[in-house]
Amino acid sequence: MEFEYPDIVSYAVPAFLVLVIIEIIAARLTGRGRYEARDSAASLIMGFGSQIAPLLGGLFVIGAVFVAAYELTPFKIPNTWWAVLLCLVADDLRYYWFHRISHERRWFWASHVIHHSSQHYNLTTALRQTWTGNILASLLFKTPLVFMGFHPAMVAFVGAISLLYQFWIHTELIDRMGPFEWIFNTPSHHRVHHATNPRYLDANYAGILIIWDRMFGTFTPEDRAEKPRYGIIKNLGTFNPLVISFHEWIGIAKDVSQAKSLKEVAGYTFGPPGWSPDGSRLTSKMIKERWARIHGEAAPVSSSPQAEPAAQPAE
Amino acid sequence: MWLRLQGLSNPTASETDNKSMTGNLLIDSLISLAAIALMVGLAWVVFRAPPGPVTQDAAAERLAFDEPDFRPQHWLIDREGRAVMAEGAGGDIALVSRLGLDLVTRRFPAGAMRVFEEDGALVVRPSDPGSRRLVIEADGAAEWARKINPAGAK
Repeated sequence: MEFEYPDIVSYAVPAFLVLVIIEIIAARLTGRGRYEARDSAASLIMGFGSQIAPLLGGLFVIGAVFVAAYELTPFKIPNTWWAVLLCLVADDLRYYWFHRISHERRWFWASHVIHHSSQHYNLTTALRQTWTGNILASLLFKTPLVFMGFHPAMVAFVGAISLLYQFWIHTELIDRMGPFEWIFNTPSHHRVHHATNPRYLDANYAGILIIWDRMFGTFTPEDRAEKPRYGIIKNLGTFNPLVISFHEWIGIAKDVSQAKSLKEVAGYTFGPPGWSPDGSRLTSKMIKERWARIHGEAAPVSSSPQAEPAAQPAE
Repeated sequence: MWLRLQGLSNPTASETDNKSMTGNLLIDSLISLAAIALMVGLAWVVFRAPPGPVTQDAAAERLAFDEPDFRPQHWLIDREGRAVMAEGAGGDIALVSRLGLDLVTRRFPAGAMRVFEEDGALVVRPSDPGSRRLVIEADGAAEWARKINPAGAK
């Protein structure tokens, strides 16, 4: 039986609205979670813009590349339910690495920082998305799936499933989820990902399946003794969507303009966030080391560099 | 939508694969903006609380998290509670300001902070693209401005 691809994101939009309304009221009644109107407005405008931005041309570029890739590849995976499942798992692994690189390399961080730039963690934070990162991300990280033989419509469909899955995990209302947490990404796991506490940095990059973090050594469980503090290392001093969207790109441009060598240009552009030639800024690795020094403990596990200028967690 | 334009849409897909709620981008956008207004309005009504002033205690607590190796020696507290500035043991300066219900910190090595004095207040110029201009009105603000920026240039 061939599989059909409904536009599930469009169908989900009313559900987003209802769930946000429920969360606002429930957060107030239970004290678990909080909202700030201007922060939510910024997040939702970013989400709105992220849907409009690809219409300026990027969508056609991605489409053309996907179509060309599908025409060129000798592989053709049949359009069946099991192929969709396989594509979903492959896409989730793709997402893990894309997401991890988005934290470890400043060029990609400049787009992804938007999603982490709120000090709040609620369902509107899930919608705080980049205006600038979707084209390159799709071309670099999704085209291989098409080359593997998955139909472009299938790749787009599983991407939508991943997007929808990652919406509901942005909440403080849901505590722990028992054995479900062994395999799947959950609100608890993702709270850790959005936290700036040194011991939580560089952790839990998963989209749907948390098994990738467990496999690649980046899993960190939420500790009840240490409440996550959300945001980025250098939190933004404004709710202005233009600043939210472009501040890190401006930061890169400023740094590159003052670079004294090509090595510095490369470091400022593709090094870990917080990289500087003289080490005067802090990468997440340095933040963890500082935390360990101060607390006299071994540096927290989960190992990749992440961090400063924009200081800093879904696609 | 782009798949259809490229003639590559899933042959079994229904008409719903059009990436749109109503099929009209303008109407979709207006519906989305109305929904945004509804959510923001509800958040404002339900969580409406005037942000409190930035106090020395709140600033110290926040700095202990954000800058755990910073040791504040002297404090300058805006009388309106908009921001608190602290000088560390090594002459470095930390700034804690309010953004909505939350606080934002910045730390500057000695001599790196861009400030000037204006009508007795200390004005902090943005140091990075994510910062904004801040004015601190407090007793001693002018002295702090002159100490941090002896040249006094704006």
